[in-house]
Amino acid sequence: MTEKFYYDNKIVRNFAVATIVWGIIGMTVGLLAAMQLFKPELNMGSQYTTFGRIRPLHTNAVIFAFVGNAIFMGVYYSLQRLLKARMFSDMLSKIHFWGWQLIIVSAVITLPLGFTSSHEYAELEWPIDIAITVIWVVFGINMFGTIIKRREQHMYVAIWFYIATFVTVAVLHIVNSFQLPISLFKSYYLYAGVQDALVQWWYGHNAVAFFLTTPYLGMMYYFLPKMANRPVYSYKLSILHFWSLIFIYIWAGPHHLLYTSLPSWAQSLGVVFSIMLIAPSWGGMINGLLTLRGAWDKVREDATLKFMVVGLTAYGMATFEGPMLALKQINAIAHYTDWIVAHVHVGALGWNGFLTFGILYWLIPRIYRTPLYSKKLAAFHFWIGTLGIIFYAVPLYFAGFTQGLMWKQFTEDGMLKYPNFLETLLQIIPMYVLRAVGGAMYLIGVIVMTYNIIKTTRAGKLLANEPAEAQPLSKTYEAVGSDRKIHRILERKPMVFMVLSLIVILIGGMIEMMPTFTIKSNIPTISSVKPYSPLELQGRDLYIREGCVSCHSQMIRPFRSETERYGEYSKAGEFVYDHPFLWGSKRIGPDLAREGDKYSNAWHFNHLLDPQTMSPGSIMPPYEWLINQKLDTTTTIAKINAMRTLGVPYELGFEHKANSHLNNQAKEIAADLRKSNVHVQSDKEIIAIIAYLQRLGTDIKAK
Amino acid sequence: MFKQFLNQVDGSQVYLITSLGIFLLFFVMVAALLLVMKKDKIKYMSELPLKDNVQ
Repeated sequence: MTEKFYYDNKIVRNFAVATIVWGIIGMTVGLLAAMQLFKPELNMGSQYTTFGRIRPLHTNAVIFAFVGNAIFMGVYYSLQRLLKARMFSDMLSKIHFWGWQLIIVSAVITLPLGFTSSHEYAELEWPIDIAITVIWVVFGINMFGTIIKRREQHMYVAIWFYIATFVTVAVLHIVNSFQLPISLFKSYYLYAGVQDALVQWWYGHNAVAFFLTTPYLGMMYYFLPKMANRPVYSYKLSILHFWSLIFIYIWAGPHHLLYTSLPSWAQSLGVVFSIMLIAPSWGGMINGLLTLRGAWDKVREDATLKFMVVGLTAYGMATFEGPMLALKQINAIAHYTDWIVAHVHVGALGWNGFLTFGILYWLIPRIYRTPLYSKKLAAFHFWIGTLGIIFYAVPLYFAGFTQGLMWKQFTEDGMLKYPNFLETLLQIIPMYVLRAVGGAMYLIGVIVMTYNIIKTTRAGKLLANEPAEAQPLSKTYEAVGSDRKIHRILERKPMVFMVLSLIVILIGGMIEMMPTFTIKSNIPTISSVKPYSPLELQGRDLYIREGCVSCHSQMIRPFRSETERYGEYSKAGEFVYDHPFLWGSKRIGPDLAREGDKYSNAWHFNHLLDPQTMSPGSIMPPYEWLINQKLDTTTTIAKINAMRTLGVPYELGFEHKANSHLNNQAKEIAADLRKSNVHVQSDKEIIAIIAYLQRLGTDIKAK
Repeated sequence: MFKQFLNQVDGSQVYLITSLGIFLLFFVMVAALLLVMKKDKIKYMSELPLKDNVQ
């Protein structure tokens, strides 16, 4: 007896619409950020649109809004069909959809307002973190509910990728969100300095792995065989590369912290596993490309397959480059430069973007029961998108090599050839212009796609509930023959499968992080390193609010080229009170780890007021609002208390003296500024940020 | 290059070797599972996306 049921196409359509809308928004913000790098005035004088604030908006919008919605679109479409069942609950689907959009809207509001945790790709503050957790669990219940009520005994490989995605993202998100709230939109991470950095990059790296990679591999394993109308090249390879990929990926995070103050054994571990990662990554790419064996004639005519082929190729390039960048010698040059930005965009624009477009072009005509409006426009999108990626990536590679090498160049006398950081930046500004052109081309392609898809949907009608029929599963399963084998059993038991995936990813995470948390010798303390004064602490939070960390690192690597330029290299013990760490990952401006005492207070004042007056040609925007806005000192007590809870040794009762301490220090700075003919009231924000900048790195500086 | 790399690991080889060992063991287990899988089942599994009645 077969059962009749209906696939829910409406939820797939909704996620598709969200994918396109947020894609355009996220990419437009990205283009604006890219243009600010050669025309800083493009923040239009507003504090809410400076690079530091819209850069996280761009990354969050593209990762969690564009790619996130595309994942749910692909999962909701393929999961139902692979399991021969409608999604577990229409209500949960709806909650999932609207909840996720609400989270994105809250990100769009809070990030420009400066509410940020400063952890890259995890910037959203704690109430939104909780909302993400709830919605993610809703997604999980809906997915596992569907798996449980399925009509197909075995779980196809795509579903394992979805399960691994669900379980790992849950673990990553929770571990990287342990924060102590100070107020509704301000919190401090439980971890500090090196530990915080390790957790963040364990998260950051695996967000790439389990948000941008595994769900897309799952989608590739479903949609590519459908598009090419032939099964995947090697199913065995898919099993092997699945387990290897999720096992290895989780260990590789520390490659984001090479040559930093992270203990060297953790760095080495990250390097080794990063190099190994090339094998399972390429296993997936090769399996995808070879699925098209004998179907290459289709690729020539079908824009959908073209997108898939270039997407897979971009995946192959990015996953070859990743391990290469994890080699210390290459990382020494590439880190902090635009090379990394080029690398991630090959992945984001090529792999995630193109796979999403390919799937949209395939899926929309099917659920709307009509052919695609224009194949020509799709082909145009493919070509302008591909050229866009090239025009985006090549200039940035060039910029990365150029600047990375310029930073390290010495004269014959042993002096830095380019002692002024700005000189190395001005050299690559033309590349920033070209990059924006590439990005604009890519965005034009997406807009053309949107037009094409709107026209398609107008011509057809959504088949909201697609009829299907299948035999129900018998209540008791009798294993016969090879079905008794372990992996065959696994494929029938989703919960066991999830637990096993969880164990696999936890092994790596624990071996990597435990020693840094438990063995004291991994972070030697330095007695001269003292907690921040209340004013400096407030200034530090302004530094976080303004997103200074987007452009300025605070981590001097132990190279002569860096110690000559910035001063003594950074030590793990210097960061023990840094909740959160602010090492940064990109130097659009110079490192600030030893900024303290380098310039006068007046220099900083004038520089923040108008950077170009102090550094002609600088692309830093003016921060004049810091001079007009009053520092909010009502939070001081809560901040001191929170820091003490986290282990920062402020004396008991200090919180009550904190504000008078703060006022005194502020008055001293204001008085010093007056000497240089700068008149500003001591209660303004700029005083706090100057206090913080003047403190940076001074604890271990010889007086 | 390799010498430099190995020198940097000193005092921590135990982590590295344990980690690699765990992975090797795991990899061999997965590989062994693959070896004993039956061809007809593999074929069945790999054709699942094509059997969902949606073209």
